[in-house]
Amino acid sequence: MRTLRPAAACLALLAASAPRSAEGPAPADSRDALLSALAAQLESARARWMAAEGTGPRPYYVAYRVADDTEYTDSAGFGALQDVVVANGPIGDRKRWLDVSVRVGSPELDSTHRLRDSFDFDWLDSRDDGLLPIEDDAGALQLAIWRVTDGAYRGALRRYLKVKANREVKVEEEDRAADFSDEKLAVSVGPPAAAAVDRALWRERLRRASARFRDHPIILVGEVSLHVRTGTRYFADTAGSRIRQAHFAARVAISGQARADDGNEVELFDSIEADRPDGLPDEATVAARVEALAKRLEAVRAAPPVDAYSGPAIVAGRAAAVMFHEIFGHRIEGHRQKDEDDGHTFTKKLGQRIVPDFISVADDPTQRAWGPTPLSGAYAFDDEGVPAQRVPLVERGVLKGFLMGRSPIRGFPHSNGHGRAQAGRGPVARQGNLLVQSSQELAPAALRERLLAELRKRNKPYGLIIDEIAGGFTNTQAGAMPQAFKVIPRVVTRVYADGRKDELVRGVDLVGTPLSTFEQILATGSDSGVFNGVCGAESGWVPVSAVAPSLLVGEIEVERKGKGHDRPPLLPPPLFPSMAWGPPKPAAPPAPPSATRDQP
Amino acid sequence: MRRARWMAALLACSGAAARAEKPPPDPVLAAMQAEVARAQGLSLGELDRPYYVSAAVNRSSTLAIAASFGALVSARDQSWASTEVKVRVGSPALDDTNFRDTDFALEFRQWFSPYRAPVELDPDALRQTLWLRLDDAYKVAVERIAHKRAFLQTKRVEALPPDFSAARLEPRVLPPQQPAVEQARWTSLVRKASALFRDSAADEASVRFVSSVERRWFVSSDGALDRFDLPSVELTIQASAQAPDGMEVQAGAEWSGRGEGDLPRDEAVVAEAQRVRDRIGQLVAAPVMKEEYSGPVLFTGRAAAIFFLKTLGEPLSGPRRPLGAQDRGRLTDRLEKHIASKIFTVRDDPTQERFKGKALLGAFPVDDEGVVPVPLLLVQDGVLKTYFMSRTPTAAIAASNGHCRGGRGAPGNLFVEAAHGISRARLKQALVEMAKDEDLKYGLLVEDFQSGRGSWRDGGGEGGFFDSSSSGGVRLPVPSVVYRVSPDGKEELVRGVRLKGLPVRALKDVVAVGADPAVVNARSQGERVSIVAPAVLVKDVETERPNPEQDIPPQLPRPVVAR
Repeated sequence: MRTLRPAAACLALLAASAPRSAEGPAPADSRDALLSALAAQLESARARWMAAEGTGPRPYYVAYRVADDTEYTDSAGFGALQDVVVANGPIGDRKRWLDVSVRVGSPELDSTHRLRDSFDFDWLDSRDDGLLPIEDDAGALQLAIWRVTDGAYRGALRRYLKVKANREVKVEEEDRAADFSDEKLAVSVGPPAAAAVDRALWRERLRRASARFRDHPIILVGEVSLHVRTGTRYFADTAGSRIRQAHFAARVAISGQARADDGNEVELFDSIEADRPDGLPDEATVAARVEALAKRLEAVRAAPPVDAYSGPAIVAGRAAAVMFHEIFGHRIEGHRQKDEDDGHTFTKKLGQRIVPDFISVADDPTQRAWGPTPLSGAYAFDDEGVPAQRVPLVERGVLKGFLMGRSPIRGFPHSNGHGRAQAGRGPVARQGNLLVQSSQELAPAALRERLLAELRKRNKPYGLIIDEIAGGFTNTQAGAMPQAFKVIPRVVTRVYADGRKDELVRGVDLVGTPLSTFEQILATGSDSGVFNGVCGAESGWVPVSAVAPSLLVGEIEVERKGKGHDRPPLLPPPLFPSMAWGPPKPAAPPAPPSATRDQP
Repeated sequence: MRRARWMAALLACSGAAARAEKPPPDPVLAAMQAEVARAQGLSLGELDRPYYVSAAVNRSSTLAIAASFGALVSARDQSWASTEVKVRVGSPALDDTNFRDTDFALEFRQWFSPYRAPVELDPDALRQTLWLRLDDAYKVAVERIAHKRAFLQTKRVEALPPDFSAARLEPRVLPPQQPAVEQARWTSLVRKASALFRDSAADEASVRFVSSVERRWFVSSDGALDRFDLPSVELTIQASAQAPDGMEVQAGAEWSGRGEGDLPRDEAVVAEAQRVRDRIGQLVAAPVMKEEYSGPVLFTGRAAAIFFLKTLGEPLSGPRRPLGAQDRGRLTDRLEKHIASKIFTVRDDPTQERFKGKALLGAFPVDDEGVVPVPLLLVQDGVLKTYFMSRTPTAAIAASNGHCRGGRGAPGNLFVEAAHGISRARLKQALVEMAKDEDLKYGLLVEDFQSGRGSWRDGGGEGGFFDSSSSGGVRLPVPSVVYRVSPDGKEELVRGVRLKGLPVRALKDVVAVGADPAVVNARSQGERVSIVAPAVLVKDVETERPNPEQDIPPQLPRPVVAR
């Protein structure tokens, strides 16, 4: 299951020096204690495993990733800071996390190879965490790196032996591509992170902004938060790559929650991203967005619930972007194409038309912004030390390629800089910035006309405009679960064929299967929407973006959302104690039925 | 600015708070009182109404500084808060509690709320949270009492004591306690002490300082109005190493108290770190106890205290069995019976803040239900006289004795006393003589248990995930410091010893206790407890063989690092 949510981190790069690749082992940066300590342990590993004679399975490659991050969320609800309040930031929020990749075997077959039909709890045996000292003390750093490396080695050796047995026991794999690709080594030592946010100022802003929710009695939970992640990422391996890059990402998030009289929870979410401290919004902007969200929440709460529907709909830009991320993006992640349990929706469709020919798709982590909006999925090097690249995936409707990390697949022996992971996980191919473009863009009014024309053609009383979305998820695995996707809209409008006024509705989820949904795209709008969020899959949560134009889809299916059953609070809100608060009183219990209708 | 808003809010809600004799001086208490008062009016048609409503707010502020091998790993000064509410519907004779519902959705909602508590206890934001949580608690309570009645209508139930007892509650708003902390001193000390391990056998070594103040507010509809602070400081040294055969060994030291003054001077900490370093070296070189052992064991120091906590303190907790829960037979069923050897007496007194100058962190001024704790005589000359009571009655005991912690009766400061305690030398002598009687070549002396995480294969360390008291018996943590004591009194450090579960009868197998008690601060089921207990000689304890599989030693040479 892959999931996408907007309510967390995004990552963008700040002032990383231009990547330069070089041949030959690189000298460690003697001014950087952490890089030097990593290099010393890599040299020890090389001498023990790679340079010395020996028999039996042994590591042929070791890589270190360190996330030296200062990360925090300051969150205020109804005017007061909540959750955890750290008094001594930034040191209090700083962590250095080491991930060690030890590959045992050979590039053709190594310890990372997928184990088929396996459900292994081997990780329970590992007691090592990757926490490193935050101080640049060479001795303390080396001791910690040494200990984590040793644990990673034992795990990798055990796994390699399992991989070999598994390969013998099972039928031959369809795709016998190697396990590790050879890439140019990269040396890029950029300046360490320096950016910081005025935290005290922002805390006061969050208090004031979230206090605005107090004026709206129907809002049960009203929160405004600032999430900041900044720091320096390090990569070093036994091939000689040495990378240091600074990063900064921040997000102001606004969320509100209410409960409709029928028990349905109604939640709305809004966010503003920044890729540098002075890119954060000013107080007036945040205030306006809080007020707008509160008003929209009141309107959605009062809107009628909608029933299941299938018919024409406009999926607005941001929602369309999420749909592409789920339907398409996850299915062209390279390693899935050789995962024998995967659905392989597109594996054999290379060179074939999979979407209408006016649509092209690329994934480009090197693009840092879309217009004024920073893109969360931007980075300069991936988590396997490979420079990010723009990858054309679909050109004029035809599938051209896959997203690749350093795990090759048939026909794609190299990485294209999409091996990604969160700290603590091993990288796999993931999306960065998925960009959907169209050669036929209709102005919003024209797109709406096309929708009305479709309604008349299909004799449907109304269609839908799906506007805001909370996120989505998809299953790409073959098996008992359908390989379907779901996108969770928050604001849906009913558009009537007979010219009645548009009507806000609530409580629907958008569902479908990938290939049929693509076939139903009839037209696209000129207004692109940007989705910035974090995406969760087997290598953990990574920041991503998706950009897409509005889509007119001929046949879309929405299903009724699972519903809450609790009554709204029984007493009026504490700030409005004497307000007329109208949860319907429970009806008197009905008299026991004397007869049912079915009885003769 | 903040203060002004709090004061304004205070005035705004003074109408609701007017029921109190006089408005409390604390705006948090005022906000809690206002919502507790409103919640008493909750109703849903003909369904049961609340007869008791309470709200608790806990806010912790913690400074934690940790260093490993001479460098800081983290230094964090943070605050967080939690709220807990209780709405009882029905009547004290029969309410929605003391019932294990088969409906997990309701059980879950009872313990986990989606509504977050403000850390800055702004009265308006706090009231919003309390309003939502009390509303939720009421809805859960009316459903639970219906489920409980359905259970009672379809099951034959032997005895049904009342669900809630009356208590005399008096407001206790105590002055704040904010002990000063010299952050720079501790930062440099944890660095210095952990640096001693740089050229040792240890592959992990950390020194950690934690200073914390927990402030608790409690308001109930029957008169509780409390606010008090629980300050604490802790300093711990922990090191582990891998012996040449792969076995992991651990050693450590710890100090705790209410303020900096309770911790040792820097030189003493460094000296102790040096001893832990030496101990690690000795453990790595120590022989493995490969054979199973069944015979006398002498628990001393911290190990003796944990022995009494696990065999007595915890089994005398939570005496009321909820309806629908399994009846396993418990120590608490044996009131006025002999449960232990006649040679010792056990008391619990949460009002005692120190023992021989050492801070007892299990002390508290009022319990989680606002009841002032009563000193207890638990076991007198081996006979069980009472156990830990909250306001939940049992068939035998009607009233609370002020020991409600984490929702159930539980220990505070446990004191084990013996009229005729004997010296360590004589205890050792008795140990080897008992061993000789059983034709054993040695007796075992356990000085300490592992704390913190242990390997999951060994069931985790003390308080670890797998460390739970099994039914009908008691499981002790994995020992970390064990000696074989041979007939000539020689003590030989061994490693790899694990204890089998002890039967409840183990307390009757106590043949001798020491004269000089150790003072140990620990945690039991999430709550702080203190144990003051002498060494204890137990007639028959069994050990397991060490885990026969061990990690191979490190393949890369340990980095050579100067101290």
